[in-house]
Parts: sequence; C-alpha cells; structure tokens
Amino acid sequence: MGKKKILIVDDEKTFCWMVKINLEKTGEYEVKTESKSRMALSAAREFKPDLIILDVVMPDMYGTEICKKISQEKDLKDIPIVFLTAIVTEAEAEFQEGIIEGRPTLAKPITTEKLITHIERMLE
Amino acid sequence: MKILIVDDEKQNLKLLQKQLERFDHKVFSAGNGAQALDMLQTSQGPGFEMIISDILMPIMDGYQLCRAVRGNEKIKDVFFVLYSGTYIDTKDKILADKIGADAFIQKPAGIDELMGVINKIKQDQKAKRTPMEPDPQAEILKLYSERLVQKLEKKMLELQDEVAKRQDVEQKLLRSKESFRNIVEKVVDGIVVLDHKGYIKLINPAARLLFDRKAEFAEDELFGFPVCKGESTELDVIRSDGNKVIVEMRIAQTQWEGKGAYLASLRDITKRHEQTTELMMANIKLKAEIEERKKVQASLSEAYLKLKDTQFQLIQAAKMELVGRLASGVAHEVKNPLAIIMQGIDYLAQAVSTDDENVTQTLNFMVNAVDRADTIVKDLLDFSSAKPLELSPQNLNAIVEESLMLVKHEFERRHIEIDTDLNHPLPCAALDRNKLKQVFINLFINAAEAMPTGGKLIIKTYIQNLSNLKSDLPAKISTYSKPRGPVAIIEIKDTGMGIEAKNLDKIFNPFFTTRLREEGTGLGLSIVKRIIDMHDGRIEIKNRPKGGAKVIVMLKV
Repeated sequence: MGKKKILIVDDEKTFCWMVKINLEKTGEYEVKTESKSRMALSAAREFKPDLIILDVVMPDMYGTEICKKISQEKDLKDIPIVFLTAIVTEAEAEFQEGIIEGRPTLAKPITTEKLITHIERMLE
Repeated sequence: MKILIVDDEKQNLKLLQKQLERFDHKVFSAGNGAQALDMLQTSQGPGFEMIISDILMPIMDGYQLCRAVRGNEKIKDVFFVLYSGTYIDTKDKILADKIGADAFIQKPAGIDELMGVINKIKQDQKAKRTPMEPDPQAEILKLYSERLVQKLEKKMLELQDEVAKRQDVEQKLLRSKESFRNIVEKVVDGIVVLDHKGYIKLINPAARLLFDRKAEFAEDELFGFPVCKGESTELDVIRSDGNKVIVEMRIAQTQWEGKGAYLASLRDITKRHEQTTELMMANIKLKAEIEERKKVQASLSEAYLKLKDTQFQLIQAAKMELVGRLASGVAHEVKNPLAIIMQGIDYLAQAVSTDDENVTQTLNFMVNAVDRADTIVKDLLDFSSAKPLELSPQNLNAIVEESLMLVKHEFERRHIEIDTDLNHPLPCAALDRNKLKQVFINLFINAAEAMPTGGKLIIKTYIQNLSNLKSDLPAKISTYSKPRGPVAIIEIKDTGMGIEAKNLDKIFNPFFTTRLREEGTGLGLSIVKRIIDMHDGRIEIKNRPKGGAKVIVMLKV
C-alpha cells in the first residue's frame, strides 16, 4: 500500500505547511494543503485524498460548508473528514465527539502524535 | 408682802398679780372697792400690808375704797397705792393725798417703777402720811365729786369714741364680708366648705351649678363624695339632664365657725378631659401612622435592595456576555498561532539533534508553555462561556460518581482515602451534565491538592428543605437568588490545610489563586461558581472547625 493521501484545508498557510512537513516526515503520508477555502472542493476532486482535515472558521467559506458540499458529491462523500479547529477546547472535542456536522473534531493546538493517532484510527 | 390688788379689768389684775408674784409678794385680787373691803374685813384681812387699786370701778371706786380703808380702825394703816391709767392731772394727786393714799402711779408702769414706789412707801412708813380727817371735809368732797364728774365725762367721751371706732370696724367688717361673699359668689371655681362629718357648710353658685343643686337644700346636706386631703381627685357627676361632668376636686383644711373644716375647690375639667382624650387618640393614631410609615420604608428599602441586586445581576450578565464574546474571539486568534508553534516544536524535535540535552529541555519548556497558554484560553472560555446550559434530566449522584472516577488517580497518588455517602436517592433534575462534571472535577482536584501528604475526602449527597437550612452566606449574597423548597445538597469535605481566613471572600474571584503561576490559572472556582449560578444554585466554601475545608453545593431539584 502506498502513502496515504491527506488534504488539509486551513487559511493559516504556516499551519498547513507545518502539519504537512510533520506528517510527511513519517514517510507514511502524502499531504496536500489548501489555504483558500473556496478552492477546497476542487482540490479534493483533483487530489482524491484518503482523508480531509478541515478548519472551521475561514474567510469566504466555513469548513462546515465545505464538509456539506463534499458529502453531497458522489465521488467524495465517503472520504473521512476530521475538523481541526480553535473554536472547540480539547475537553469539548474529547467528551462530545461529532459536535460539528457529526464529524470527529480535534482542537487546536494539537501534537503531531495525537493527530496521527486520530488519522490512523479513522483510516482503519 | 401680802398685797391686795383691785381692778375691774380682769386682765389688768392678772398681769399685775404675775408681776408682783415674781418678787415673791403674796397677791390677792378683788374686782371692785366693795369686794376689796369685804376681803380686808374678813379673816384674811389683818395680814394685808398694801392695797393697789384702780380708780374707776363699779360699785365702789378707788377713792371710796381708800377713804373706807383709812376710816376703818383695823385696816387704816395698810399702804394704799392708787394705780390708774387715764384722766390724770395734778388734782387727782391732790385728792389722792387728801384722802390718805400713799402713792399714785400712772398706768402703764413697768414693774421696776412699781417696785420702786412700793419700796419707797415702806421706807417712808406712815411718817409723812397725812392723817385723814375723821369726817370728810367739804373741800375733799367737792374735790372728789369734781374729779369723779371729770373722769366720768372723759369716760363718756372715750366710750363715744369707742362706739364710733366700733361702728367703723363693723362697717369695714361688713364691707369685707360683702367682698368675700362677692368673690365666693362670682368665682368660676366651685367652693364648698364641709364640716368634719362631711356636711355642707357653705356652697357657692359655681359649685351648685357643678352639682346641679338648688340653693335651698344645698347647705347642711351631706356632701356625698369622699374627701381626700392633698391630691386632687376626679369626680364623675351625673347631672339631671343625664350628662356626665368630670369635676376636679382639691381639698384643703380650714376653719369654719371656730371648728376644723374642709375647703373643697372644684373645677369642671370635662372639656380638658375631652381634649386630653382627643390628644391621646391623636397620639395613638400618629404612632400607628409612624409604624405604618416605618413598614413602608422597610419594604421600600427591601425593594431597593432587590432592585440593586437585579441591576447588579443585569450588569454582571451584560459584562459576562461581552467577556464571553471577547474571550471566544481571543481564543480563536490565540489558538491558531499556538497550533503553529506546537507543530513547529514537533518538527524541531524530529529535525534537531536529540543528543544535546539543552535542546530537548528547551523543546519541553516550549511544549509546557503552549499547554499553559492553551489552558488559560480554555479556562477563560469556560469562565466567560456565553453558551446556554444544555439541560436534560440527570441523576446528580451519577454525575458526582462519574466525576470522581475521572480524577480518582489524583487521590490514589496522594494516598487520600475516599469516603462517599451517595445512598440517598436524589430526584432527577434538569442539569447540564458536562458543566456539572467540570464543577465536581474542579472541586475534587482542589481537595486533592489541599492534601498533598494524604488525608480523607468525604462526599455526601442528600435532600434538604431550604427553609430549615442555616446559611453562612453574607446577607448581600443570600438576598440574591433565594431558592425555596427542597434542594439537593452535595457536601465535599477534606482534611487538608483549609483556606486562610483572609482569602475566604476572594476564592471565587477570577484569577485569584494561592498556587504558583505555573500550576493554575486562578479561574477554576470562578468557573465553578458561574456554572452553579447558571443553574440557579448556590455554593458555599468554609473551613471545618477540625481543619480542612467544606464545600456545600445546593442545586434545585
């Protein structure tokens, strides 16, 4: 099995880049980043990721909207989506899974280790 | 010396007798010349050595007596002194001498003068006495009648004068009596004089009017009211028209016709009484009004307090809402850079040589710093949480137990014994499960940290009726949200160091902490308080008498 493809959509370019290099450093993942929320859908269509990491609060389009759109697209709707956002606390994320659009939610800031654990659990 | 004194004025006799007796003379008295002559001729007679006689007397005057004495062989040697007050001129003295009197003294004479004369007579003996002619000579008789007529004339004049004087006095008396009558009749106050048996001796028109009595049967009637001396008494008098009159009576002791009597002064005080009663009624009314006003004032100030409280809460709520909005904005903006730093640390941890201990240490410090910043943001969010409660029926005991399970390792680590009494069934209540879990976790961790070297945690839940509950909350807080009826009580007691008295009223303040900076944000108890307040519950924290702290959480069920 090849590298797992992961799409990160976040308006913080630096954050996208940091996550990308941290994940790719493991050699397990191929990561594509998109910092323009409006481009998220086309990026997904083009990249066909195994998993999408979505920020929630972004200019132009919220992550929740992107999530809805992906769910409605035949080719994309089965791709697991995880929200990674600063609007929830770690406790909220842990105790109340699926608080956003019924999807797993992770709170920023997060360690790479924790992120990978979640990614792996979702890709099983 | 044995002396006979003769005078028709009894008082003169008495006075003279007293004076003479003081000089050890034996004194006898007679009312006129005839009586004196009788006494001189009886058995007492021979002893008399001196006669002191007045001149003008009824039956036998002093001259006649003198003549009779001198004419009587047995008593002719007795010293004779004429003692007269009035109408004296030299002719009197001549006559006295002629009829054989030894001396003539003019009244009033002091006792010294009298005694002087008496002693002189004794010394002179009878030597110089003019022997009396056996028969009254014409000259003597003439002189005698002349003197007598003159004296009688003078006496007449004197009597006329006396009568005039008496008439004058009588006139004055009459006028005075008239004025007295006048005063008694006209005076507004009632005046009644009573004899010692209580019979009316005098009653004035004012008193008659007071007692509603007619003049003809007022006097010599029984008064009929008790008479008390000194203090004034009030009498209720029922008049013939049926009206009641209140009469004030004062009694004084007096004399009436020479006998002890009572003087009653009476005054109609019905009006005064009415006024007093009116005043009293007005007073009572005034007092009631004041009382009423006080009550109104009390309820006003209570309402004011309530209003102030409500205002405080509204301001507080508005503040919290603003803080909430601010906090969630800040949180988002802070967490994003924190996320980048965290990822950066992760990258550096991989990329940089881990052989250098300082690098590893530095990276650890950075991770801790990010965690701390993240915790502060999280606490701030919790504290300011503008999110409404998510209420659902919950079993409070289950929430307590669940919370305890989550932090059990904190107690085990410190060898703290846990004693739970959650056996009393608590009714299901609408509660925010997650927020309450946060409350209990917070409280449990506080308790654990208060007992670093072990101890005992005691948790007890029960239902209590709030009216029976004694609250230690200060009045200011307890007026705010006063739950009534049954409440669920959760007691959390520890055996730790307790809370310093000076900190007791600060523990719920945001950012107040007794811990080191790295250990806490100082928001824990503020969040707890806020969540309890949102549930309309109450929380008290106090020190236990035996040491350690006691937390009481009250929630409506």
